[in-house]
Amino acid sequence: MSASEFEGHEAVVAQLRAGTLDAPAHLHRRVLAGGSVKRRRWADMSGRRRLFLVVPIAASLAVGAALVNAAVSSGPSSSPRSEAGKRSVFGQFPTGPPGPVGGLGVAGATGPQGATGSTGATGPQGPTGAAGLNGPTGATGPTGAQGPTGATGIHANYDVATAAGHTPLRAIKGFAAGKDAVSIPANRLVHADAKLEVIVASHKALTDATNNASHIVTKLGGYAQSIQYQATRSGYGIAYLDLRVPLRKAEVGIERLGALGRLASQQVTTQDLERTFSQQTNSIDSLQRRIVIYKQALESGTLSNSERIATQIRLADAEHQIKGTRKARSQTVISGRTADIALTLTTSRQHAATVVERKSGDSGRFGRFLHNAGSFLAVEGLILLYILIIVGPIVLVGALAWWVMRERRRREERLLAANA
Amino acid sequence: MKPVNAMPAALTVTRPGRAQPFADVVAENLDAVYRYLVYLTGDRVAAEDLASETFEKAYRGWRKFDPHRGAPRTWLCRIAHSVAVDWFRAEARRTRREDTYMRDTEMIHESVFADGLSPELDQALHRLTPAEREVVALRVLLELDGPSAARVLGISQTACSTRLSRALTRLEEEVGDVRE
Repeated sequence: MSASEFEGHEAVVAQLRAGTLDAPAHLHRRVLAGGSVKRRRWADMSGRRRLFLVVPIAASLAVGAALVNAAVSSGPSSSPRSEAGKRSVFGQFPTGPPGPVGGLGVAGATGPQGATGSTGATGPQGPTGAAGLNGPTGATGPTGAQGPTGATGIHANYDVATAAGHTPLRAIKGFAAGKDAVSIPANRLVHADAKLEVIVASHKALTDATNNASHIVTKLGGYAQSIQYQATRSGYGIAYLDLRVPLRKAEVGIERLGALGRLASQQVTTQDLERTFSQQTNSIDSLQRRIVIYKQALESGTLSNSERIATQIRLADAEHQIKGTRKARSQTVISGRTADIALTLTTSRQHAATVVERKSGDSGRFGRFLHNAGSFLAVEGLILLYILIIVGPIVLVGALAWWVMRERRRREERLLAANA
Repeated sequence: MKPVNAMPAALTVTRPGRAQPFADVVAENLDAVYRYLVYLTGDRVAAEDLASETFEKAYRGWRKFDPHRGAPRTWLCRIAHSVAVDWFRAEARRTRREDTYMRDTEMIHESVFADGLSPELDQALHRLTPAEREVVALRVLLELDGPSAARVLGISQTACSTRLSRALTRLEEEVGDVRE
């Protein structure tokens, strides 16, 4: 302490120091008694210590949850289908290894809409295919033989259920080999649409399958309307092919295309065009008769000028209509003689993993375990990131508010100490 | 300084790396803290309560206390300052609600700051602001050095010296006025 600060004030300082004031005895007891209060460990802990405690616990919980999830999800190889395997792959690519039994089912749908837009309510219906474990057991619906509405159809929808760790290739191969394929009527004018999803093992297999698909349809007298091929470095590849084959070769085509790899899903839709064709033919006959009448009337010379002009207009209209109807009937015939096949070829990482698993035996389970644990941790990381993004600004605002409050408190302290 | 008898076991716990148990800190500093609070508040009863609260807080934070950053007395005075500021704030709210005329009159005629002080000096101390009494208590009675006192007050060392000089000057003037 510098003595200069008290220079000139020695007298008053000495007087102040001469005074005595000790804390009363009861205050000593009170303070010492207050000190015996049991300590609140968590409250006494500094923020850094709390952080060191909380972070490892949270990390341990996250990793533990991931391991438990992985242990539950990976399961033994002989277990029944898991939840993941119940996902339908229709309209999308399978996300898991193929299932053991496929869970195939055929539903012979009711008659679809006729060409003219009327529903084929009275047309014969295909029997409802019963879902069967070993493939579609329900017979495919026959074509509407002589239904008055003429429009019948089959909507056979094959969904291959997938299951983790199970790949009954025999069942899939049997499916792909066309044993259960829908028969397409060849004795009527029918248009068929088919959608196939086929999984191949690798990039090279994808390329080969794409080329083979073109060759198959060419050999069958058809052609590829469009081909779209995509491949990534990660090993994922996909090809979309729009193919057209003669109707009588459609079944063979579907069978051969399905055999290019592992058939994941198959959808076949047929639409009877007989009624449309008949209506168009009738319309053409009617128009022809009208044209003949108009021509005879014009040649007779009995018409007045105004009637003649009106008849000429009607004749022109009829000729125009018959031209259009003939063109439409030609299109109907062409459509009724061809089948469109939308083929999707894809490589599947899960499929590749399954192949590896089968080769490595029991070690595959450990691989699945690690994969599941990693996936779960990634999800946890995403959730954490999401929370940080959401909570970050709130924390920032809170910190700002805390700083403002602290500054305000300091100002108040000075004011109170100076003016109280 | 009063001897500490029947010391609770909890107070005798010494933090690893620290030679002094908390009970010793209490014994050494309670009187000083009490005097500081009496000077700051001008109220012995309030000072007792605040001293008790100060040591309770200090005990809770004893594990966090770092002796390398300052003496225990400075640390305790800092806590006492914070506690007293809270008290002042509460008092300000209370006095806004109540008429404190009688209380203030009573305080003026009552010797609170120390035993053995002349009445003139006692009255002169009353006339100082709490901030002035505080710096006097820290520098003169508790004999804290300039940096420590400045740290307790939350001001710069220069401001602390200035405040002390003004407080002592004013105290002398007030004593002179009372005598006249």
